[in-house]
Amino acid sequence: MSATNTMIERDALNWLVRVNDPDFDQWDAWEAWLAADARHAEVYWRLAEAEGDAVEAMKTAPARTMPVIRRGFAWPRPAAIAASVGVLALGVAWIGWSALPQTHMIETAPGEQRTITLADGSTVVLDGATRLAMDRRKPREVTLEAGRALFEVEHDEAHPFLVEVGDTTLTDLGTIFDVTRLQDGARVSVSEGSVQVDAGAARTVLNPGDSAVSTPRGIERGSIAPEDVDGWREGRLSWNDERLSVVAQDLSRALNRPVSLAPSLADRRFSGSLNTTASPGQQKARLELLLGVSVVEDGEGWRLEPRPAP
Amino acid sequence: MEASPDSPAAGLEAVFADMRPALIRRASAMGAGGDAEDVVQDVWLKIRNAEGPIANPQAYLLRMVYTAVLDRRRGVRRTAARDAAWSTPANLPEDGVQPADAERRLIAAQTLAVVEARLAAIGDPAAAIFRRHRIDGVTQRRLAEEFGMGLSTVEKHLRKVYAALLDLAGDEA
Repeated sequence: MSATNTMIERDALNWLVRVNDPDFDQWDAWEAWLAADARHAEVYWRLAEAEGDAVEAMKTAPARTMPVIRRGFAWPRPAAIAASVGVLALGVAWIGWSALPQTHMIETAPGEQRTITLADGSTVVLDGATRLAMDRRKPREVTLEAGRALFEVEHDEAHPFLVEVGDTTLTDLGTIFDVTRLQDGARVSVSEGSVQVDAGAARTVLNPGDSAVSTPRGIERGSIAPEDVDGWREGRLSWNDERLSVVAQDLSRALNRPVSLAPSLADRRFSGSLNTTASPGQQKARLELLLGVSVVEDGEGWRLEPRPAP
Repeated sequence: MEASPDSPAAGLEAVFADMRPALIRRASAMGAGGDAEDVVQDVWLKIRNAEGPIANPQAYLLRMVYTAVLDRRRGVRRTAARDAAWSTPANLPEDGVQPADAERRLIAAQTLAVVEARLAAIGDPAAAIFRRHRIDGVTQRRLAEEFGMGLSTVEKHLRKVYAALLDLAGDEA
């Protein structure tokens, strides 16, 4: 954005702050500014509309709550009426609390699984080599930085649970869902309830048995048997018409070794399931049979290559 | 007129009748364009239900026109966004909920989560000032007294909250 546009934005913001004051009476001056340049009105209304949406959403909240302090804490009614008093009373607690580190990370080692319970009662099962970032100030928002996790979310209409996965945002509508961070995006599979997937301008809503892979190219919908969504917890991976590039990422985590893929196989599709608890020798043979590929030792990892023609 | 001459609405209606051409001109200048007359008609319908004495009818009516222009713009944008988002049948929920309602609820709830998170990140007093101002409708002058700070400081806090809510720091800027 050019410096001029940034300046228009700043001016528009200043006007909006003033116009929104019930005492505002400089309508002539404001109108003159709007009329001075076509871009003024355009930017002003864009900001005013967005701010109006935000305020309207706040008015739909059932009660004024302070999720930042601790779960279930609500402003007592009198304090809502005289918020300044509440602010004074909370001031000391606020200073003490805000000095604490606000973000923390939960990380599992390769091959480890761990179940955590969040402050609101939601549970998250982390697969191996998974990293989840949380912020005490935002108890209903987590970021899946790496790996795979199964979310069982306590639904709260007013405070949807958000999972950020790269450029994709998942909003639960009361639900159990599985999320995997992929090299170039995210995959979501829903077992119960529904999840909204937002990635850039694309949006879709997933119901039980739906899955989606979100990449910079868009959101691709797929399906999965709901009972297969959390199979990985017992060492069973299931795919339904999944790209091998995604299958390889699942295998890397489940088998605890880097599994790479010959580029020519990346877009090949696979349906089926694999028990990942067998010995490496058995695994290798099974993969070759199941995927119809050759498994080649590649340093510490395995490389999937097209099977030579017989 | 149906309202009796001494009801609050009656005085307001008289002022409205006087100001009507000016209000249409204002609505048009604000960006309502060809909808200016409709906007002013919306205002007319609303003020007939107005309660209580209005201290400054002219200012009140201008505010009403502004709000009506803004609401109209927001309505148009929402419809356009909804049409785009729900154009594929695969996206329709199957539980009998009207998509428009479901989506509106969802957007509101989702917006709320983002708004709350950003307010929490900014912290008080800025967040508390913003709530008092925009939710409770307290004027900036009153807030300056309540929070024991200058009017310009109140404005500064509000600008900070607006910028965060509207993503102006990160957004294309």
